Amino acid sequence: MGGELAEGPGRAQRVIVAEDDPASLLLLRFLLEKDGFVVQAVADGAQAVAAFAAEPADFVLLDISMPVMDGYEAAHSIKALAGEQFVPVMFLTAITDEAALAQCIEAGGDDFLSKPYSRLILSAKMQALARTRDLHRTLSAQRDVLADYHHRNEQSQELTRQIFARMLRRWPDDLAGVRYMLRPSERLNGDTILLGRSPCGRLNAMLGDFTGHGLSAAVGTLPTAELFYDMTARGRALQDLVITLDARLAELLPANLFCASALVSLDPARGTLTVWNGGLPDLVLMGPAGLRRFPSRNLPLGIVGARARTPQLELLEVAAEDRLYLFSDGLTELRIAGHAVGQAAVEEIIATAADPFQQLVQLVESGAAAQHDDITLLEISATATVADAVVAPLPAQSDGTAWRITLELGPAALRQGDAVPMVVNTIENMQQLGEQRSRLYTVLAELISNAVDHGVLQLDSRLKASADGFEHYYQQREQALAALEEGQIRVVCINELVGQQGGRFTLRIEDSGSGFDFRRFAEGCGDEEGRLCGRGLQLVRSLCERVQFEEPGNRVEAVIPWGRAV
Amino acid sequence: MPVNASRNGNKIEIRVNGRFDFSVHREFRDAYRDTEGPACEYEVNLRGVEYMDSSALGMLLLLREYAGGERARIAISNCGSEICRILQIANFQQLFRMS
Repeated sequence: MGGELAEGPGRAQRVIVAEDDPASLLLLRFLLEKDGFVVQAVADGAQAVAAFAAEPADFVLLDISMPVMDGYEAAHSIKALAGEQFVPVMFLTAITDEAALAQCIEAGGDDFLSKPYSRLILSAKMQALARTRDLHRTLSAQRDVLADYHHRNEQSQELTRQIFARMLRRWPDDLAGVRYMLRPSERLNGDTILLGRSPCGRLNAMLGDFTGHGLSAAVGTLPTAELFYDMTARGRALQDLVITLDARLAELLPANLFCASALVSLDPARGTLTVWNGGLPDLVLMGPAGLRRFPSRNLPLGIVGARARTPQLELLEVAAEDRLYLFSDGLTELRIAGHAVGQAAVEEIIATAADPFQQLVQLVESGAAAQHDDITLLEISATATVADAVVAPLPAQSDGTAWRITLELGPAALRQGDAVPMVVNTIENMQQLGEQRSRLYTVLAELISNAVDHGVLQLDSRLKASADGFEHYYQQREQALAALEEGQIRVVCINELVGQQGGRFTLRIEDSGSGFDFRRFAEGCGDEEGRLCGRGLQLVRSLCERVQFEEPGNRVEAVIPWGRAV
Repeated sequence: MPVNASRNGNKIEIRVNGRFDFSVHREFRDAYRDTEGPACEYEVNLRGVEYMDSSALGMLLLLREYAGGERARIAISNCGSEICRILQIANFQQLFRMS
């Protein structure tokens, strides 16, 4: 039987036995040695503690009433010495009083043995104690492994979180008019917010909510961020961003992972907002005209095998006081006092609170205990980013030499859209543009879209005078572009050096249309035309040294100084 | 049982009860993994579902992939209003037949 108790073949189990009656002590030693234990016999509690301190035993048997130190006190000291290690202590007693026996256990004993001693019962109890001790050891070892794993996991998650934070949060420091809250349910966030400024001063924003939470959800945010920032910096249209992100995520993510998200693009200079919602709760726009919702009209991003669909975008005019709210379903599904918050309650706060953002943050904090999903909230004011990107002074450094490029774009190229980044990228290949990029970009964007819309496509900008007409205008534009068979625009860009550290860009844009009554615009009547048209030309005038139309109104020349020539 | 499956010819009905979330993903997968995918018609009956989350949407997409992707014949039936709303927000009516 001792063989079963021993740990490994070599080591016999050590037992300290404390008993002040020599006859009992002799009997116990005899019985235990028969079972293969090595016995150290002592006469009182103090000696038992000293023996244990000198060399810890596998088991301790203590008589309750002994001289010098009784069994209870000795048990207490030995348990303290053993610390984390589990050393079974068994009390030896002649008492049969139930209360006294219970006291043995309270005093830290693991079992008790009543006199007179029976060999069978002693053996059985020793075996049971050994089993309990082995179980304890196994559990401790597993706990240590788990604790170690947990610790390493925490460390690598923290490291990952820091890397993610750097990769995801790359927006400019001077981004005004944007507030956000990210509250992951674990260290790593499956929700993400991306914010970027396009070369012409547009603010692109994305709120993405990947399936699930924690690392598996967060991992999808990296390729998303790479594409988002890259395409935003290149000034690509929101629609292209959506299509590219969707395709890329479908390629990367397993079938059951996808990204419910919304992308918006705000053009503060023109006061327009483009919205795409694929799988997020209704976006809410609040302003002087009341509350407006943008429900999800698209599949989430990254669904494998979904047939390519045209993104359903909404384009609208915004007032300066308008604020747009985007949030993940972690907010609407957050349970407070047993009930999900719900879209209606969120809208109520947005519509009525003095500071809806703060109020929503407080709401989330009040329900933090019940949070089981990542919660994300983003507020974008219509005046976000203002126009500082556009009016920034042109830098003096440039080693550009004089050059001239001409681009001609026909129906196919125009249909592809995005003629502007194409032109800017071409120019950038000739010369590093740096900060000049955004000014050049805006002027080109305005003049090219004028040339395409009113020249080649012959659209009437007065259509844009009402909010309905505004949408109608863009529908017409899309149809006309799709049906376009002939017509073209020519873009000429000339860079001249002036003095040592400056120069000027001359942009000439000509379209195949019949021209327009530019004199009316030259007189500055754009204002009376309504708020949705004529603004573009005003913007161009404010950014250029000179803007001149030529008869019959299908040719325009704009001059932008750079460097010292400013 | 949170997920039950029954078969009638090549029609497979999968019924989900209680919470339709990650905790039932194994049962949900077991419900169809011995069926013949594109050769079968599936009905996911959500009558007994009280709550569902985005991982459930992911499980439906896995079933869709198993059943042949664009060719899959899958109907989602008996959704309560809350469940319907979640499916609509994700625009799953474009991927599944709702009945």
